[in-house]
Amino acid sequence: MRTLLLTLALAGSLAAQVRYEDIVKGPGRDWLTYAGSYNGWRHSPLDQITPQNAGSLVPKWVYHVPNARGLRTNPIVHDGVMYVTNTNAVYALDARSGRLIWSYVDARAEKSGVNRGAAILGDKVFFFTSDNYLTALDRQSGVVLFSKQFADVNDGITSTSAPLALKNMVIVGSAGGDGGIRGFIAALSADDGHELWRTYTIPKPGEPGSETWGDAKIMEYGGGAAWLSGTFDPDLNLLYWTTGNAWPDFNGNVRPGDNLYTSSLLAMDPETGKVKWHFQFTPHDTHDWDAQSWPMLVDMEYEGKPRKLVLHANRNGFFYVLDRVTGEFLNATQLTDSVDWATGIDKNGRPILVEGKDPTPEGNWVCPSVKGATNWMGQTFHPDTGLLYILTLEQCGWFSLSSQEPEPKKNFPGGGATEEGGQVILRAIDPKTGERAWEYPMTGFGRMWTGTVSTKTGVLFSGDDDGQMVALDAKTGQHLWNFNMGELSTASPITYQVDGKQYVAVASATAIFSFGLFEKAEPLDPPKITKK
Amino acid sequence: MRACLWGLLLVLPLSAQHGRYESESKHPFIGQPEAIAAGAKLYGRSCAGCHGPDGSGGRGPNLVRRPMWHPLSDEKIFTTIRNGLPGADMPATNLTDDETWQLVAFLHALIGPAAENPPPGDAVAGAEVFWGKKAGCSGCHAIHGKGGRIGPDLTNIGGLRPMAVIRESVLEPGKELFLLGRELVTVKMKNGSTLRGSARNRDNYSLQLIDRDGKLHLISMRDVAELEIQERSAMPDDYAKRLSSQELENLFAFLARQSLRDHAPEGE
Repeated sequence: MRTLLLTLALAGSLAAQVRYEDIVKGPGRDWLTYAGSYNGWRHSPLDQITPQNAGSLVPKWVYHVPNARGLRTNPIVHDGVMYVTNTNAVYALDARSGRLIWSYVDARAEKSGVNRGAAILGDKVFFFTSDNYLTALDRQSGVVLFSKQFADVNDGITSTSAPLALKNMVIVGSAGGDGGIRGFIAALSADDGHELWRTYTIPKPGEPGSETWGDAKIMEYGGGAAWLSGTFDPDLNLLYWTTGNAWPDFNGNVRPGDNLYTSSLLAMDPETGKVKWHFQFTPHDTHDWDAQSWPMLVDMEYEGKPRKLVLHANRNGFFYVLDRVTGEFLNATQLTDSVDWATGIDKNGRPILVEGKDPTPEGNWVCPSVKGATNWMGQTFHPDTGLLYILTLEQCGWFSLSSQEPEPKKNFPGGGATEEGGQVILRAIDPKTGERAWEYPMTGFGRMWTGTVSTKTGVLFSGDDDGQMVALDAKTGQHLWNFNMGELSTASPITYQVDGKQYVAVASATAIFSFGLFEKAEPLDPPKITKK
Repeated sequence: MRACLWGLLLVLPLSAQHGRYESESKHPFIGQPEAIAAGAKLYGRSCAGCHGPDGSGGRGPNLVRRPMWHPLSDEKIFTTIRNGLPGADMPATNLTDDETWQLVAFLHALIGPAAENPPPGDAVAGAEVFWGKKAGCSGCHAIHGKGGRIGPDLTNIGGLRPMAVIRESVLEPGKELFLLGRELVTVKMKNGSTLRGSARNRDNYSLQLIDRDGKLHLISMRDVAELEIQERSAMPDDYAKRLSSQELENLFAFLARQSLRDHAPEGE
């Protein structure tokens, strides 16, 4: 009997674990990885909230995250529990009520900074501290299983991304590129955090790509940070990871050449870290246009042939379509109206440059601004509408050049940049043509970092540039509902289901909000409570 | 006990590192044994009368165990010593800058994480106490995922709490009266089943419980027929008798070394 019970208990707890296969399946009731699925879609098959009833959404609960300011966290939900992060901290909440179950705060971290969320695999919840520890916590009780450092914060490396957990590993990318670092992407063991492989985004002298730098000393600190998690194709067994700008950001004179592999997309073997192909969006970038925006993995008929594509809206103002098996450049179209540094992208995928758009000592006016035509905000692909939903920013700015000698690790960007006015516009884009199906212009100051999520029923949720959550009809862009959260949103929404009820959750600057359909409250009779 | 702790603090090899964490100052006296010893003398002369010889309070507040313990910045301590707290009993001082920093260095060592000033017991022997049956600590507490889930995780206890707090939590757990978040409960459900464990959250509408096997249960109060709450700490209160003073010192030495951000934990 005991044996039988033990077996049953084991089966019960094992079933509740998160298996790699569960994440591969994509979201259902749970939301198991940053974008919901490895392909980056931020799209859910849940169907309770529809265009017809979205008007009766109400907040179900709010959790005020201690000491929060500009939260970037993307909630993860499993088995009725939501995991959110703040800098050097994780909070497990009852996803039905927002009540705190456990928290973990690493008070002795050597650095604080933004954190984009947790990951889950097996019984472990993973997150990165700002000073580069991978910490694994028991998903039910929050006890520490291990905490292992993978990079030294004194080298200018810091961690801001959500971990990407797959198979038996956790993938991390380095942040800190604007201060002069050698960027990298690494795989760490999900069992104990030991490093399985590390691939640098900047070559060493003599390695392929080193000929694109001109100055070996600058190349050593060439940037190419990898601060946003990537996407993954389990069938091709390829990781898709974007890299940040070259360093010094605004001074290209000291690094003549394309500066590989900065501002690029890398397709990598997750078992070895080997780069199968790369594509550079902005060769020799001088405007801090990191390529950090989601590489969306979509299979569709393209120019008469079924193709495996990667769609990428870039900070430089163009929307790219590549073959994700080979990295072949297929097409690029203009993402925002205000692009003045290039007249287009040529047949090889290189920008057709406008002369005189580099930063100058007195300042040079360039569009897009340093924040970019889009950025790391979560974007959505809806398989039924076939449209890609992207938060774009119409904004220009001044770019200036400093004549100061570049000093790595001193947060020296080689100049400066401003963000002047501008408007956020949510755009639905047909990936086959790059044409806009509809637009939803927003009011605000161009300061949001929020993103989108869609449902099977055709509701698209987005934060806006004014601190509101908005529901739109994914087909038409028609407004369905909005709610004022009272502060700017700097993270992307998700959707999940617990006890048969669908919720939509998002982090505002300091709190987690969860919304659901209105239900009349039933009176509750308290149980008999005794104290002894 | 107080006298004993006081004595220990004075003779400890105070080897705290400094400047490693954001809340720490870079002042050279922080972590410097001579400065700490000089500060200890100053403390005994000027501060102990109100704050207690071991910082546990008296007429003035407890400096070690505060309700929401978190590291105070060294500069803030410096300013408070220098200027006093107008409107409260804490007077301004006329100590020199160096003397004030010596006092800050002593307080930093006193209220800083135990891992920075581990007590002199045998941590390897302390591990045997922790994992052994006589103390039974690991029945409720986990370190690196090994052990029970009912009590607080101790993987990083030395990195989080001052020695005086760890000591008090072991020897006088009854002092902690605020149990919400750690109550032991028995929940009789309307469907006839019964759950027992630690209520990580309990309000009038929901309850989140970790059972003895470390399994989490999310409970709606609508489904609860009866709730029994234990009003005292689940932590046994007989360790002063159950363990010898040597075993206790060894256990403290072991716990002090449980820190995620220092040397590898000893005695495992």
